[in-house]
Amino acid sequence: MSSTGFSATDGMRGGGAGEFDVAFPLNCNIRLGDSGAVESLDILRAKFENHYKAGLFQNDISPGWETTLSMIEPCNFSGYSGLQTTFSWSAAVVQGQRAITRAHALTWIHDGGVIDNWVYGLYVVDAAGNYQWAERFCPGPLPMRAAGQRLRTEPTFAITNEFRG
Amino acid sequence: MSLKIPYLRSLQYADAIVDALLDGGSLHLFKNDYTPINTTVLGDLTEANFDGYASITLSGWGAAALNGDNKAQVDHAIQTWTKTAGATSNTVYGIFVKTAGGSFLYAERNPAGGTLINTTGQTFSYTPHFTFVSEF
Repeated sequence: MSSTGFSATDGMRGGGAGEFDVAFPLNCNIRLGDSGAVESLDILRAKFENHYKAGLFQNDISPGWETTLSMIEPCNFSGYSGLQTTFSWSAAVVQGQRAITRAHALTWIHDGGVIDNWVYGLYVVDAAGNYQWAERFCPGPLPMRAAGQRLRTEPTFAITNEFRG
Repeated sequence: MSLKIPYLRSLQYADAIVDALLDGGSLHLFKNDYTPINTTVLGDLTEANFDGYASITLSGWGAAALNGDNKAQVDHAIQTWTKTAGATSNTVYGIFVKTAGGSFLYAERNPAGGTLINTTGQTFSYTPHFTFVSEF
């Protein structure tokens, strides 16, 4: 039996720039404070908790900013239980220059049936089934081809400053 | 690898942040010569106190929309402070924003440097924008 773990480490950047003075607009860089990033992430994780669902995809794509659900081919290996609800997202904490939250680990197990897949990544939808994000496993793809093989992932989301330092 | 959030999906995250934190938040000026960083806290900033100065409550943020860089951007109308008669002048270095709950959210230094506010009728303006985008 093999076991595979995977944890995402990124998410969104908040920041941008306001404009000082009307006659001579100048853009600087907003610096989102650590406390602001934590507070912002706690708003989002409340949306995730027990609502967002994660699944595995089997097609060889690299998710991008214009990816849609129709581009995702969900896994169908024997024993694949489909989307799993994410839960127990942790209170946001600062790690390095990110505010980060992690959900309870999710596990899928091959039951020994005849259908096998190579798993290329994880995707997430909201409670209504709207595509939210995806992430390609690295290294990958990961095999789910034999009885007892399991894939364990801990959904993670982070907010960081658009401008570092 | 990198988690990717589609451009259009980032709009709803931006709107959630605005609704919960920015709407009803407050806009302030700081007068110490400081460059904000991610570990900045309220105690690092000295709020302006020139005659006529008061913090401004931010309500009426627009809905998030994709800007030219495909970032989810929310905008607010321009805000202006006007110096009134009196002896207290300041050199203003930037702005900071508190959430509706009063905690520090972000700060921004004026790239033009300090601006001396010392004349009755003199104004200082700032147009708030905030963006949100997938990290990668």
